[in-house]
Amino acid sequence: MHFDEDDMADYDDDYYDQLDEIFAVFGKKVKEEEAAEALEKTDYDVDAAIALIRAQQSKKATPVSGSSASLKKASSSPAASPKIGQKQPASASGGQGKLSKLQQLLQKKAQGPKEDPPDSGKIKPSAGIAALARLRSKDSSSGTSALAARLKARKTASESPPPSNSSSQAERQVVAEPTNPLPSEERSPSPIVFEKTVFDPSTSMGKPSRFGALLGASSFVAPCSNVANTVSTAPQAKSAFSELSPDEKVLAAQQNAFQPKAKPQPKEALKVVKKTKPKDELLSQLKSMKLKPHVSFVVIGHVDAGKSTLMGRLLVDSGAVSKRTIDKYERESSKIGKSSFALAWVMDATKEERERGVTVDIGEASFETENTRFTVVDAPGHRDYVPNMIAGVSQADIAVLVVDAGPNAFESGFSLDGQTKEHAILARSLGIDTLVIAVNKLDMENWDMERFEDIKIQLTEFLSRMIGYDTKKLIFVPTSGKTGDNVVKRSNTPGYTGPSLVEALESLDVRARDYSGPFRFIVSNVYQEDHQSTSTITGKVVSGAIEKSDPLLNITQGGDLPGTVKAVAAGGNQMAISGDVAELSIDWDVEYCRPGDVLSSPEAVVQPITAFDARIVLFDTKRPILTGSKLSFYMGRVNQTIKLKKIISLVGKDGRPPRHLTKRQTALVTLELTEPTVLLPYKDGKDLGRFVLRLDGFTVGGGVVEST
Amino acid sequence: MKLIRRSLEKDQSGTITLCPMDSEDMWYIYNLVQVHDEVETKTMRKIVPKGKDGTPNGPSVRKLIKLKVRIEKIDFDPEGSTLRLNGPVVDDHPEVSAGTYHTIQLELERNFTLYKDEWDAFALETLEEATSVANRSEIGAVVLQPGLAYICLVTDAMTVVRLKVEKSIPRKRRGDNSAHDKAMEKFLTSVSEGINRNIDLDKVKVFLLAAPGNLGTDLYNHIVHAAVLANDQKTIKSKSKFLRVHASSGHLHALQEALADPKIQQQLQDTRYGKETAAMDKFFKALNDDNGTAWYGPTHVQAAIERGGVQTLMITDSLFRSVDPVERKQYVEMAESVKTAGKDVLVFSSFHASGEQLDEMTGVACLTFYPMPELEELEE
Repeated sequence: MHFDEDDMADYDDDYYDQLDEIFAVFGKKVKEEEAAEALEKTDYDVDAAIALIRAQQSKKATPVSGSSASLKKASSSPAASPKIGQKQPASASGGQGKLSKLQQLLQKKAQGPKEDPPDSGKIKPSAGIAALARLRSKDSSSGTSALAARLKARKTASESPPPSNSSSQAERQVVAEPTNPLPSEERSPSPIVFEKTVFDPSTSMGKPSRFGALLGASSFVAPCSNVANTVSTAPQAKSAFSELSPDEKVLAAQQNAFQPKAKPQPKEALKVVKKTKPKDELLSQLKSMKLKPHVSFVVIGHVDAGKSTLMGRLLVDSGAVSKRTIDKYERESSKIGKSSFALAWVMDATKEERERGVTVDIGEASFETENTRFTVVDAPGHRDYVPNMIAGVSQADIAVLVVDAGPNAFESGFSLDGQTKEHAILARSLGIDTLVIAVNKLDMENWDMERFEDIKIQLTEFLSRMIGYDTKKLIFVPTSGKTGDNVVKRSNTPGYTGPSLVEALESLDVRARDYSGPFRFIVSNVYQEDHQSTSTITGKVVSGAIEKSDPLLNITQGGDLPGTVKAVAAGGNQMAISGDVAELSIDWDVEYCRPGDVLSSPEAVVQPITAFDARIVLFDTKRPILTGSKLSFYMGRVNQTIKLKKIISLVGKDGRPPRHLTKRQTALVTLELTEPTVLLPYKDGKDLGRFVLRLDGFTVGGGVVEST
Repeated sequence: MKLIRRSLEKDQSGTITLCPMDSEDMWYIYNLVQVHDEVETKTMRKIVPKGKDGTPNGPSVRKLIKLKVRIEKIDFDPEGSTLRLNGPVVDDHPEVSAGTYHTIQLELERNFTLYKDEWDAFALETLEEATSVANRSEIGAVVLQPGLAYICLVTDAMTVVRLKVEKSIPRKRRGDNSAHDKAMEKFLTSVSEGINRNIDLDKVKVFLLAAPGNLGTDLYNHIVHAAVLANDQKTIKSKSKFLRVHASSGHLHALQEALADPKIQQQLQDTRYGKETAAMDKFFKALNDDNGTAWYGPTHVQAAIERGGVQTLMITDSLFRSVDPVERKQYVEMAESVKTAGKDVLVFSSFHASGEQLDEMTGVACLTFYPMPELEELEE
């Protein structure tokens, strides 16, 4: 940090204030040296320091010996339940009693899920798993019935002799033997029938649009949840992973040809390593988590719409960033004549971003409300940083589109090359179907509700007609990031009766989380903390769940170096499940993992590929895409040059395929990447099956992987 | 390149002696020589002295001798600008018997003689271009994004990557950004040092700093700052040669965006590369509008030529380098017939991005005066 002498005094004052603040939180539980150290480590950010100390203390408190860990794993045995009880003093009864109670509860639900009241709002912790499931899914019928069915299966299993308590470390590492009734029961194809698919693209794509043509086409309407939910149980899914795909066969053959002593192929890995987590254990762990649903959203929109300022305001008003920090930013920003950017500095952290007042890379933060935990991803608005914005969108469930209501500002963002348009298109092609539109800077317009309505009409028309958003999934909120009106709390908005921004976000239905599939994780950032031997890897869990000491492979890098998770942090939880943005500590060298890599549990290895078939939709391109043309391919942090190898056919047109593709065409094509990348057919995993194509700095198309 | 002697027969066969003067000439020679041609020049060869009975006698020595070789293999490395010609020796030499294979590496400022059975129109044109004294312009450029940079030299004939800089830059984090800032600083230092080492600023017309956002400005400030600190007068004097242009990424194909910038196009107006880029843009626009005036592929272009409506013919030099003489002849005739009709023929260098693009679509394309929708029906 750079301070001149005058600042030094300021800085010392700050420092002691910060220490005091930490003592206020922890009392005598923390020593002064510890607090000082934490502050130093976090670059004198009090909130971060408190979080760090908290993490350190919880680390100390958690038992780490092997036997207790295995006991924790085998939590179905009575011996383990008191432990859970202790860990969760808030719960009224012990683990075992509670578990059976919950089973009854869930069974009851399974018998009559429709009698269940539809409200899924505030649920007391004592409602336990059912509540969790409901909150997680917010789709009570499918969520609970799925869990209930699984639990029912589990119950039949436990009526036969329970698994012996001696389930040692070694045993856990081996494929479940038939003597162990629990996993074998699980592996049998349990007929899980969903009353409603958890994710069904057709529900959100009723309108015939270009995206509808792409995503709602027959092959995609297959209920994805069925596939995803039963990856570990359904026989077809199992065989899909135990057998090599044609591409893998070719790859394997090539590998064998050149390296006679190649590393074990995934088929063997499947046999050797296993991590079949008993379902009730998973549930008991989920139970110990906070019961708030976790929602991540990305903030998008034209440059200078006020995205970072709005998010800074949101974090300050929701208490995630202290007033002190903001005061500091205000002092520092006014020093370089940018005092109006103080709030944006919460998100804009690099020298370049602060000096120029333009967000370059995505910023992440989290905050909590009474009912929900949020992770916010602040995306850059400038045209040049669209690749970073794409990486941000891929981490989120929903998007907040910020538009500047100022005179001409809205229009310029909405013009041909404006990012309001491009971002909306990108978000849609990357799978975002719910938009909260923050009509920002309305304080400059004296909260003119006519202006608000005007923008609302124009945007609704464009978003629904042109891009294919469902009008029911568009929520408009008037805001002012600068004054903070209507951001966290409703205020000062004559003529407006709707929710504030945060209220709108809380009210949204978020797509159900499915954590039963194999664990897969897309890396967004890799770094090494000072004085640590492990690398810290942040990213998004796209399926399955993970906790401490689970084994992992980096399948993009070939999966030849097994890693072990040393710690997991997902918004205050020690465990991350599908959909979470999480931070993992893994015993790998910091160079081994790159942003964009895919991590996977060892039992569900997917080989990286270069060539694949895809269905692409072209937008307004400036030049045609010919066979052999090179484009930029974006999927999360993956950014590569891709070549159009072959045009298979135009969708909806018979006969000879054209020699090249021009604007507004939908086609089935074969594409070829420059580097092997982990991709999955869209129907098997949307996060690894959707991509965006750009050319000369313009988004020219979106696509989904058909087959690999 | 200097033309030393030229003696052609009526049947178009004959020999021409040339002296390459700079690395760019190697590219012209590469376009000139073909398999089955004969080349004669002084070249280094390892010679094993032989006794009277023909057995080796004493250690081998490297000697500069004059050899004539019938070319079988041509190997051009644009980065190092070296051209190697391999084949059997034609005429007996006291120390090297005919039929033994030899590889000639052509050297700058050393004469060589080339014999061809037929000097066709394309070959003579290339020769003329290569020996003309017109000023050739060179452009230096760097395309960069955080962590990735290509330093290149764009000459009339090719784009040569002189250096690729790659550094992993930690992403930004809330709280502590020193790692990011430090890595960026280091990255810019290696790029500006790379420019210093690889580009002669006196020789280039302009030097492009092509990057997204403000990275170009950052790099410019860095270069100037470093030059002032090191009292590097050469860089300080050529400060005005640095031009900041926009590119969407630091990948090499973004260089074309930078070169398409109107500011740069003006500078490039008279150069061959500028013409190529402009023609390619026009072609793509017509193709995108689907108005029936843009065609590519030998069959379609041939048909358009037969109908006499070709306005501009675009063809890459890689087609003329074809090993198959029949194929080469076909393309030479194609070009000739358009030229005799008084229309434009542009021969693209496949070492430029625009030529690469043309290569991707079979290497030959044309724009026609009027729409020819009937060509749509042709099979490839």
